[in-house]
Amino acid sequence: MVSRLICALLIILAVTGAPGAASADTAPGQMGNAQGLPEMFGTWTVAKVLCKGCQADATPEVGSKIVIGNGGFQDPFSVMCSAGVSYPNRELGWETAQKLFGLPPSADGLAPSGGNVVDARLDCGGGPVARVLFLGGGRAIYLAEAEDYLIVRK
Amino acid sequence: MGDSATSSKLSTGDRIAAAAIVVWQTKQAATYASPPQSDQAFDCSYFVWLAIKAVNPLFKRESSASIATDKLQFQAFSGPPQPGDIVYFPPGPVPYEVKKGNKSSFPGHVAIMLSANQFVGMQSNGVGKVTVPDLWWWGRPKQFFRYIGPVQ
Repeated sequence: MVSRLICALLIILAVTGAPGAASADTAPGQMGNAQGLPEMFGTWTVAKVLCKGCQADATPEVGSKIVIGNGGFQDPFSVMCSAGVSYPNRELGWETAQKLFGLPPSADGLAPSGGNVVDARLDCGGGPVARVLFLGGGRAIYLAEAEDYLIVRK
Repeated sequence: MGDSATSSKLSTGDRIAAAAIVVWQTKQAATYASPPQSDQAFDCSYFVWLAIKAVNPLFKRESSASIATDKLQFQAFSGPPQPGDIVYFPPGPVPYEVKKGNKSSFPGHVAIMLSANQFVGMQSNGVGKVTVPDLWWWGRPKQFFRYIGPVQ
């Protein structure tokens, strides 16, 4: 058991110390705060789906609920998690977020009044299973796979 | 000496899976970019490259399609997958999207299996773990590959 742990540690050192692997890990690239912000917590309901090529009347995600709490989250698009939960997050400018996540033009109207969004991961068991952009005012964008952006409201 | 003796107790697949978990945990802020731009903006095959480098530092990054055809380093097999195996989704329509009226062809994808029902990789919204069967991924046509290249 101890030898397996030592080996795992060696692998971790090998990966994080690999050429090029750590060099880009500058502060702006980190998700600073692992604790969730109060605005994240609550029940979020999918109100609309922004998607390329899909039909407006064929968005089964609408009405789905994502529950985010201090000790766990229930996300029908990833997992129900009650252990090892954290919400690493960072603040991003709206335009940066649009560019980084390829938000479609139809998301323009969601620009937050303060100009910034909170880019948060839903972590379960030590790493992320989902990503959400919190816009303030009880609005958020759940980044689903590919070209689907779920607009959720609290 | 002791280190290599310890390493030899883990299978190649276990070592790749362990490395993939580290990438998953340490690259949380990264965003998807193809071709890769840096260790904070990269694509799925870059993620796989980072993981395989743990067992072969000389491994050169290959595109997802290349991994699927590189018989010298990757062996195709029928499931169930084991930790460290690679799952490859060929380009094409996604059944979940087709149901929604979107018949576009989506890019191919590669990721590292952690078990028969979980994989980690760089998906379009960032690095992430996917528990399968899920809505989006597992309905796609897919193939499994095992790394059989050099190991250090």
